[in-house]
Amino acid sequence: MPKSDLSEIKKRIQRHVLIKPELKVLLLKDLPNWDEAKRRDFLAQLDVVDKKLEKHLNEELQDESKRKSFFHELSKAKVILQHGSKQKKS
Amino acid sequence: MGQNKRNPKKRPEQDEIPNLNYTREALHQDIDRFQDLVDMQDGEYDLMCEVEGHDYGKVLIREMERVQQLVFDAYYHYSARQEREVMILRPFQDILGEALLEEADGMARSFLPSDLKALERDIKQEHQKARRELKRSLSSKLRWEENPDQFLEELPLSDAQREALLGECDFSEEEIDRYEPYLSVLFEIFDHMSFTEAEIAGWIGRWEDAFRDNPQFVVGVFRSVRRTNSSFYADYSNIDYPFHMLRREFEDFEKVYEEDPDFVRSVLSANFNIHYKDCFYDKVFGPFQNKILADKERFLRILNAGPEPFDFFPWFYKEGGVYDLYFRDDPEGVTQLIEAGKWESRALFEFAMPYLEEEYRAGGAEVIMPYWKAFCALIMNGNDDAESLEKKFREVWPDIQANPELIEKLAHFVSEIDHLSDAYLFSREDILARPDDFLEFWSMIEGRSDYDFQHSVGVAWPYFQDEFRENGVTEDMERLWPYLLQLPHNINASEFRLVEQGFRKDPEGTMEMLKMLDETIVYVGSFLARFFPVAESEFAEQGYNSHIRQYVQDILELNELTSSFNVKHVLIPYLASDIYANGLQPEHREEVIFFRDHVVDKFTYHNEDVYFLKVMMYLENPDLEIGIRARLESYEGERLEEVLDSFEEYNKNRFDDFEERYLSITPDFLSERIEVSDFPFNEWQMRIAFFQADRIAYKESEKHQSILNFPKSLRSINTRVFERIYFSQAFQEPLRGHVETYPGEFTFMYAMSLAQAVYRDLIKNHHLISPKSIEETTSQLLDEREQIKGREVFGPDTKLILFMHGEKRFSKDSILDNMYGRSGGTEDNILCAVQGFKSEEKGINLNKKRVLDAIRGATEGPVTLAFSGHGSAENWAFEKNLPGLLNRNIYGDELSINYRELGDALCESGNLANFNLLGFTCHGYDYLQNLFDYLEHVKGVTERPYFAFSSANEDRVSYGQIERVRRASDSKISSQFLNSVHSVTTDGEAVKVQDFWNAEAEDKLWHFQDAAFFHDGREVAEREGGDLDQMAA
Repeated sequence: MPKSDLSEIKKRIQRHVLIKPELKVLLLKDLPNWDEAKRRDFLAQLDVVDKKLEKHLNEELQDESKRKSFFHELSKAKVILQHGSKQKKS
Repeated sequence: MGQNKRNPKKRPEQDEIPNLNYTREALHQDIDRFQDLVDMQDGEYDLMCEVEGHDYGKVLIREMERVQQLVFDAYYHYSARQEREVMILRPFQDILGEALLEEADGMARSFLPSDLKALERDIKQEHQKARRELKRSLSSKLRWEENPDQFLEELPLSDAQREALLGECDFSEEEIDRYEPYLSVLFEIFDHMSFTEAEIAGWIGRWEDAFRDNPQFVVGVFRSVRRTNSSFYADYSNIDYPFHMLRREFEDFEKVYEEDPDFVRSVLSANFNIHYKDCFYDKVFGPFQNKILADKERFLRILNAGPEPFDFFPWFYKEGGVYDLYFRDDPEGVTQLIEAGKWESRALFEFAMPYLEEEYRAGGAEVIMPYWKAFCALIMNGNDDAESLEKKFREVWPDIQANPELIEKLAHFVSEIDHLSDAYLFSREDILARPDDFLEFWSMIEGRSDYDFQHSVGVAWPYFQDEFRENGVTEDMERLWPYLLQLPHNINASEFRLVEQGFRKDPEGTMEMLKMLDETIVYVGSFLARFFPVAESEFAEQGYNSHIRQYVQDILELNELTSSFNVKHVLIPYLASDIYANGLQPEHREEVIFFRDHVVDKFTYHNEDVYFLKVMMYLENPDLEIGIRARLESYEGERLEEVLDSFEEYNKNRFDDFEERYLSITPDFLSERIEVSDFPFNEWQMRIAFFQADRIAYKESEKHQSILNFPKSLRSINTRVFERIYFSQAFQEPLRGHVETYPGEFTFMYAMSLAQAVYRDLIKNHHLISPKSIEETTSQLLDEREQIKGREVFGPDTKLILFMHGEKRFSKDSILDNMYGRSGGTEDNILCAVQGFKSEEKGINLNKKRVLDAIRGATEGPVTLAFSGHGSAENWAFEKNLPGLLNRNIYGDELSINYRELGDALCESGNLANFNLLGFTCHGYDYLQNLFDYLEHVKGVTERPYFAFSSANEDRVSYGQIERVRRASDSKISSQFLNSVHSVTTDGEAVKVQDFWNAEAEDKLWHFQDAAFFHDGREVAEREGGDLDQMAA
């Protein structure tokens, strides 16, 4: 069995929707100390959470108005993160 | 402020307004812009959901993950911005569900050691230590500049780091030299970004590890940030994103980096846009690393040559790609070709290599290099799609063979953005006959390559081409050429012709006039075309004299009175000859003001152009004038549309011929039959009809560009040239002859179609547009029409091959029953009738095989091959290929039949000339055009299908009835066009080509659809028009 890819785990932690940022920082700091078994265990549990999340979201988003407003909030979040909450006058 | 000094990383919070000059308006503008960005993002999400088949969960998770990555970066690097993160997470809470969040939280915590405090302390300490060290080492740019040696010595590096950074240690002079460039470049970059010292320290702080390990890499990163040339990143508050993106990328490269740090540094600091550095490992390096690592040096050279990485490398390294085909045997040669081809290398390999393959195999890269460069120069002067590029190459290939260097140098002149320039085409032989002469002439303007300049040359050259043919470069040319190159760019060659004679006499005066016009009005050329013809002969004799000067000023004065397009472009030209003869009179001014205040301001018609022209036309009749003026002036509050209607009603009773003269101008005018008494055509009527059609086409093109982002302009005709043809005697005479011989067969719309077909035919064959050429072409096209009009399309004597897209609404049975069966077609004659994708073994489309076999087997007798469904310029599809997601694949694809496969099968039947080809589909015109090109250039076949038809014109879509309407209609046929054919034919009678003509005019079909007809591969009629109320097919 190939060794689990460290950078892949890092990426998954960084991008994970449900883990809070402060926990992410701690996990990333601690990650190099984990042995292979622990890493695999972590990935497996992450998969379980992801499956649940996907099922949950698919159910929630069948409602069109909910979907629209949610995507709108997501848009706002993305724009704030990429561009700042207001544009800086240059 | 004091706090800021103590903490160099502290900078203004986002929500503060840092600049005192930041006004309320500016704030509002920014809020608007923010809203725009959010709307754009919303639209993007909608599109993604649509594209991915409304799999909301999938789209959402992926997008949330992206946002989370951004949140994480923001959190990790600006711990002070926690509020922002909370704010961003808030909307997520509702949808994610507390239970899920808690579960994930618990799961994550279970993997952490129990002593979280210690871990947090470690992290904090690391940060602080890093900041302290950096402050000591790099915070002062001044110190570095004053004493670099000292500065370097003070760098807090470990021995190992020092070794990695500076090789042999102990700071010898040489080593300082080696290190110096990195820092000086870095400082230069910082200067460029106008950072403060504290900020520089902050930035380097974040990058210190990477910088200590690889200064070159960090410099490369900063450089590529600069290279994005985006004002967005030039503002440092936004610069985080590219940095973190690269940092992640650097982590991906970790293993490779351990083995060969230099290579990774070179890759990530190579000369390509920073946006491609995100995911570079995933998309390019990872999948092809074996091939890349086999020849790193050349990989870097290719990378730095500038091909677009995500597009180029996967294509280059794929199985059977250029790497396998050419690079393995000749790495150096291919690398040189790519270095010469730069970012256009892929296109060159795809489109130029077929021309050069043989010579390349025999003689290598060196031999084909001149041709390669000539092709390259042509590509770089355009923005063609694949097809037009191939056509362009095909056309210019003989010239490249004759003199590659010449074509390379003249690329600006040869190529006019998307096609070969007319200026070049008309004099190519002369230029190739005396290349040195022309190049010398060309050298007078060498070095300029901007768009305006190219345009000026295109306009100016036709003026000289005859002279050049006779005598080469003459003194007159040298004298006038510099003036011509100053032409305003809003003028084209035919417009320039109007002032050409006078220009030769008085170049300075002409340029003075054009410059004055250029400063005061928007379209100089349009001004000349509308107002100058009356003054043309006087100008030719006397140049820019005082009379003409006065006239131009008068017209400009009137133009200033209004901003209405219609008043400027229709009314004032109408007054122009009077103004030219008698000078500007008060009544001219009054007339313009009347239209401005009482006509233009009162547009309530859905079609304002038609309304405007109607009013102008009524006013021409003195008996009507008083009435209409009074009504327009007294109009208050009432709907003008109704006033005008009641006015018409009233006058119908007063004037015997009112209806005949005016009311035929309805939207249905075009579908009326032409009588002999209609010649010569009434210009007003035709203008109104044309305005309507043009407006519809314009509406459609706007919608398409925004919705589907179609690349080319949909409006493929030039209005003025069209008018010139349409109203010419040369066009109307032959048509009149046919109307006499075959009364009741021609509609006004057919006449319009014909004029366009004439226009395109002339352009395609590079004929000048003259009365002689118009008359000849019109007669030829009309004769061809007579030849094919009786041809049976559906009926007892014609076999049928029918295939359709799988969507239910295309309904195969309705065509078989209500079109084919109804017209007397028999079961025995159906060679094949299939719909959708059908598979026996996985991935193989049985229906496609059936259709192609049926074509091959149709070895004799007339056959109609019809397709109804979703099409692109390359494919007629059994599945997918929706208008927004076109299948452009030209190689075997089981979901569709492409034009090459169709062409092959038609040739194999040996019965090509007996086929009728009918495409009731989007882009049918382009598909057929591609098919004909393929037959001519690849198969070398001169035969064409007897009759070919497309329900969509060039670069246009076609429409089917929406399902509800289809089911309720008589024919039950989806295709709007076939539905119309159904309504003009009767039970039991064969459907002929002439029924197709009639269907085109029928029942307002032209409001939204636009068909094209070919005979023997030549277009015999076409038309513009369209409205997007239906579903595109």
